[in-house]
Amino acid sequence: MAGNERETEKGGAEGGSGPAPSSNGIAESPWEWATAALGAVIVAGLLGYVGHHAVSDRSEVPSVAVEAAETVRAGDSHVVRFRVLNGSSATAAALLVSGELRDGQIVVERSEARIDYLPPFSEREGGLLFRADPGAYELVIRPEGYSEP
Amino acid sequence: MTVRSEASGRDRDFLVGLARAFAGAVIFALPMLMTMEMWFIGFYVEPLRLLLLLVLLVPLLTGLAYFSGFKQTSGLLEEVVDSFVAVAVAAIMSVVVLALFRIVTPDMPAREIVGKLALQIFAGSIGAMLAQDQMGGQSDMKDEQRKRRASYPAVLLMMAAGALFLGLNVAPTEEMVLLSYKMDPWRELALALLSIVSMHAFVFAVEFPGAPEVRPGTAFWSLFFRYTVVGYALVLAISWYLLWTFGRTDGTGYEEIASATIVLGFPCAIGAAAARLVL
Repeated sequence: MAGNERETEKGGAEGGSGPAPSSNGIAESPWEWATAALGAVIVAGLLGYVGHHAVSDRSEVPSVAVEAAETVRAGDSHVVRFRVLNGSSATAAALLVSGELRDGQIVVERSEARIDYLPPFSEREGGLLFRADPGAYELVIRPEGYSEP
Repeated sequence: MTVRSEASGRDRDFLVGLARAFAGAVIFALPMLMTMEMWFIGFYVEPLRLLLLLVLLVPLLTGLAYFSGFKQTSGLLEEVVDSFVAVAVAAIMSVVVLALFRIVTPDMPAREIVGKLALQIFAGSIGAMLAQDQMGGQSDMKDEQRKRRASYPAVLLMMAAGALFLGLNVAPTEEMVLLSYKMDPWRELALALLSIVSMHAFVFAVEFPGAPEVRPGTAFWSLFFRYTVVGYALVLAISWYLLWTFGRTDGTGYEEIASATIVLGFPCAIGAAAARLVL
């Protein structure tokens, strides 16, 4: 986006230095109008996009999903990397994610991680550290709570 | 005898210019040198993005040197040389200050040190370049230089430099994204409109000294679209680029990226507008 504009600017330099720069240097070359059109499209596009979200449904409550990505051995720990996804237009701050290793009804080990911010329609990643090997137990990961920013 | 005094005079000019450059680098970069996020970002920012930032720096500085037109340069080469002087000044300034703050110590991994310095060098060298030009006085500006300064690409480049100036001060902070989480879309739209109105008012309506002369009879719409709207689009591009560089857009929804771009776009817009008056 920025690159394109720079190209246009350079073009403007060549076009503008040609026939009719006025005494104060403010010449109206076609290149300037082309740049103006591009600028108008960018600004109108952004405003239109945000405006569209302003009138469409706004959710008050973030809808958070957690999925485990992979388990990696790191030093003395097993790290379960997870991904949290927000499917709503509300932001969750200080999102607490917990993971439990279960053997039947018994919770063998519990671990927590906190995600600073989970913005609308975004994803963030984190890791839960366990002493025991998660592969040997049933792993339950879930979001526990958040604060509103 | 005369040859020697001439040479020593030139040396003196260079040293004075160098001192100005250091002053400019410190003024420009100080808020960033003392911002916690700038130190953290130094080690988690993606190396390729950092590289791109530094690659873009030299053409930006060269452009500033060329268009600011305060110095009588004899060619593009001299402007490129000036750019690298500015980079060197910013690098030395950043090392000294960050070492004093104990933010950079010799036992840190090289990658962390380089990351921390690179961001500060970007900011500091813009300051160094502007100070060299700005504080040099403009009494002996020639007509040709003045015309160069008022050309359309020069105006856009000045706006970009101004946007970077104010934008860089706040871009790395968490407040940029936090504000966009707090604001609803209506407030963001209002902020975008306020940015556009401020840009136009700063430059064309408030009649600050230094505002560009407008040819009588130029239509409002002509100025508005060719300068303000294009300027704001440029501001948005820079705002987005800074957020991307600092990793604020990763894994983030488009709606959220749009809001953060508008929030950071506000200081960028004020900087861009002020640049046309100040620089």
